[in-house]
Amino acid sequence: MNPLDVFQQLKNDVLLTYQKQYPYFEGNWKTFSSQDIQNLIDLIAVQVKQTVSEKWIYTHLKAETNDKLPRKDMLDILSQLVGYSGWDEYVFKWKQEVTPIVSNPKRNNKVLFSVGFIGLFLMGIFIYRYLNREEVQTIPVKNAFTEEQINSEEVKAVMIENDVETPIEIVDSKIQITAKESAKIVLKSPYYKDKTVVLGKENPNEINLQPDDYAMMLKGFMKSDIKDWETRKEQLQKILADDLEVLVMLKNDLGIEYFNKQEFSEKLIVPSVSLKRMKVIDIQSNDKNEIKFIRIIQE
Amino acid sequence: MTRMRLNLYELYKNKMLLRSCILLFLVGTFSVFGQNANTPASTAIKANFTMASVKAYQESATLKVEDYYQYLTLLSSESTSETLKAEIKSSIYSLFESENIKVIDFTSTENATISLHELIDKITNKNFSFSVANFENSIVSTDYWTTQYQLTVMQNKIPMEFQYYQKIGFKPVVKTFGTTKKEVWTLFLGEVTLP
Repeated sequence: MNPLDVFQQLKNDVLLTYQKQYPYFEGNWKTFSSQDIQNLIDLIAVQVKQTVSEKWIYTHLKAETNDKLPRKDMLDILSQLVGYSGWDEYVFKWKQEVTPIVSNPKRNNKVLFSVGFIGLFLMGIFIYRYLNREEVQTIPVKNAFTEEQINSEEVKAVMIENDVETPIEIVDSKIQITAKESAKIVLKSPYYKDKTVVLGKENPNEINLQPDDYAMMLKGFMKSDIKDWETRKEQLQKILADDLEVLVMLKNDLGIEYFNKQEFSEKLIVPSVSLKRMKVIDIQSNDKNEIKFIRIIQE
Repeated sequence: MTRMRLNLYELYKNKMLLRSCILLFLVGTFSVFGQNANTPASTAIKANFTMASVKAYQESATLKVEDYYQYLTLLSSESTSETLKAEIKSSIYSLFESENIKVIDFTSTENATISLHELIDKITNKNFSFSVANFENSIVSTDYWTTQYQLTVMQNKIPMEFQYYQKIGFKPVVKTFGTTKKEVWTLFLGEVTLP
């Protein structure tokens, strides 16, 4: 920043000071008339108690560019007119004000550059993800007969891709999957027959599971009260295999209790406190569709 | 000189023979003990289960005690049919190791000891209702532990409160699953006593 630049600023301030006194003046030094020059001379005489010649104003102020700095005493007069003690104070104050303004653009440029870079980076990621996006599908899991949604706790789902099994969470009776070609979804439930869905070949809007009749009957019996115990007893005899093995897994898998057909039937015929704490997690059947194995968690 | 060499050789042979005998003895001894280790393991609870596991079984036993008193309530109800009562009795006996297990006769003023079978006969059709709470388990013994609980018996809206101890047996038992038999650890309700 050279002194000539500071002088240009002083010229602007002189014009502003003049405009304060003569508000109707809206021009610049180029349009500064002889009358304006006369007015300015008078203003300097009144406010600074100094005299400036018309020629000097023509030479130094009206000129668009200045090749050299005017005399210091003249600069002092103009500086006093615009409210400073002299040229030195004007230069000092002006530099103080201007320096941060001058340095800010550099900082702003850096910030702008950084923001721009981050913006471009994020946009790149977004475009990449958009181009490589995988469609997320939400598929409800329903009972094939009743068309009702199946309780999430009664079904387990896994996705098999390249022989790698990944469990799929079932929320509100719906599975959420990212459709991938050739991946399989396997659904297992103690009360429904296993189902495998191959993605790509079949992308169903819903998955219907075929209920296992005997397992469904058992589910009903486990929730029954004492009523109809005789019917229940007869039906249990039919649906449970003679070599039935029931494993009740205790809290945190810290132990197992075994029940045979007679013991387990007794629990179902006369429902008890312990029965209400049992949750079936696996049921297996034999060739006659009789239930031959039940795995239960005791809650 | 040659004779001396022969003697030394014999001495060496004898030493080797002795070493072989000792080795054979040791191997034999370890094999015998090793076979012993393969014989059926101890049936003591602590030798087979961690304390955390025992706690899980104790919680399960608590449910069996609750089942027992729920069955007694049904059995005691006049509205329960005779056929259902027979079914309930069967369920109760399944919980116990024997139907002759001794229990407290809460109907007698002296809190006498009677068999489970006798108690069942005594409460039938008397409209008692039973509820249990505040279970506490004792230190585990070889094949049982004792659980302490508070029993509330209601009859004609009049409650009676008792503090009972009940033995809980826990041991391996051969169970029949159709044509196959398996030895499985089983919980049984045992005798009921007063504190």
